[in-house]
Amino acid sequence: MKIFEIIGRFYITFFVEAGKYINLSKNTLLKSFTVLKRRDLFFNQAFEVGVKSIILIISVAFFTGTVTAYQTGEQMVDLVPLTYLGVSVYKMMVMELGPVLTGVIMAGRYGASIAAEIGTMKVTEQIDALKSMAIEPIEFLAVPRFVAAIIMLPIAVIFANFIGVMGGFLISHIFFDLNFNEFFNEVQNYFDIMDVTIGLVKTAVFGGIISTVGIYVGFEARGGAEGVGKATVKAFVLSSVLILIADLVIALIML
Amino acid sequence: MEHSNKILFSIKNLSKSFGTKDVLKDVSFDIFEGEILCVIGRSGIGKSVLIKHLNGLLEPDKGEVTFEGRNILHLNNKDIYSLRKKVAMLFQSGALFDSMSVEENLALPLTEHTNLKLDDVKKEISEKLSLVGMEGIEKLHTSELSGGMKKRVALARAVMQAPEVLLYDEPTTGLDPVISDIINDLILDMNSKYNLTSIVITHDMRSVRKIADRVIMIHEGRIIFDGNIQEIEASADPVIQQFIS
Repeated sequence: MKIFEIIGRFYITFFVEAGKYINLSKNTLLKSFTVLKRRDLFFNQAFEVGVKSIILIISVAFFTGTVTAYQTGEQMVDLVPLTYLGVSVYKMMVMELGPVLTGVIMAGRYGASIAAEIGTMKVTEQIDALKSMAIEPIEFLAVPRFVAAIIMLPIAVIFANFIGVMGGFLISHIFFDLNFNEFFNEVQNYFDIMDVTIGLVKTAVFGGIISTVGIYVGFEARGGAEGVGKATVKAFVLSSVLILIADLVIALIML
Repeated sequence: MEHSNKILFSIKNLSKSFGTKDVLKDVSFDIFEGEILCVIGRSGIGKSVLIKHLNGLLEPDKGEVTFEGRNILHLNNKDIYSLRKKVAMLFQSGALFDSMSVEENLALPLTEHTNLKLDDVKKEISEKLSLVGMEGIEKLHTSELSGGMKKRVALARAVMQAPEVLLYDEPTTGLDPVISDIINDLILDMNSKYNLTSIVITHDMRSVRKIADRVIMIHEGRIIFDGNIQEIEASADPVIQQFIS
């Protein structure tokens, strides 16, 4: 009997948590327009998620672009003309690697920090204090973070993609002797605005996931410093898993 | 202290549990306009849980809480927020926003709910800070404040919206006797200056003797005493005597 009890309790907890997360995400989305009332809070968060993270994002993108170009180039030698290396790197960066890696990195950098900040506010009664001053925590805390993430993450990914592709070109030039025209000619020929759109839509969705998971986990934090620590880890793990699931779903829908 | 016979809050058969723990069991009492009501009892017996029902931060499992004749449970979001403008709360830790300066903390209720100009907001802030004896600390960060200073700033923030009721959650806990006395004087001051009704959760009998018009004692989830300070001092109940002595 014990095993059924454990399984039953697991599913009940899972569905209760999922329901609460979906409810919070829905409320945040529906109240997004209230960001116009609190533009300062939005700009603070936009600075946090965009400007303060950009060095990290483009560093990762640069190395991702270089490794992608090198490994793909190594496999293409003697099989496919190396002039197709540029378009391979470009497509991988724009449609997959740029959005997903940026998403996962920002789940650690921004999502975990949201969970820690809101979790600390929860355990020190600051969220109750907001409510007691007739200030709606979803509007005050969740909406600016959510809107900043879905706007700034795609902008950061545009930079990341550019740097990643340029990194790929650099490696291709050094190791495979491709010049600028050889690398970028096929990029021009195979350019499809849909590829860019898919990448940016993915990133905006990932931004939504990172922020809402961080917010939800923060709001649910309990039990002092230990609870906040657990919330931070939970936010990163949960966001990363949801990003990979969303990546698959969006690819299946849009491709 | 003088207070009217008008009932502001009416708590009827309030019960609240967390998991398997019954914190409040069938609690009923009224709160009158203008009084300072002290709710006493040992730590962890649900005093804070009780006052969080008065501004809708918690919902009862059973029973009802009415404010000015309206059941709080039946209020919609808009009405619950307008109730919270009338019923302010001072939290045990102060609950100041640690990402903000003192000025930003105090400005928040005004910038959120009024269209006051920046100069007027600043004037209001400095007036409220001087009321709690903390003038000139507007630019300090909350991490630079001591426990007593945090409580006083939090008190100034609580009265920024000119509430009718102030809920104090253990206002003197963790403070030395001198600072505790200052806080007690402020509670008395606020009550007379703004015609407030104050509900003070505490286990500090020194505070109770100084400020209380009326005392309620909670034990094992139930009210075991409701009366004035002279009556509680004269009580023969061993649980009460053990607590107050």
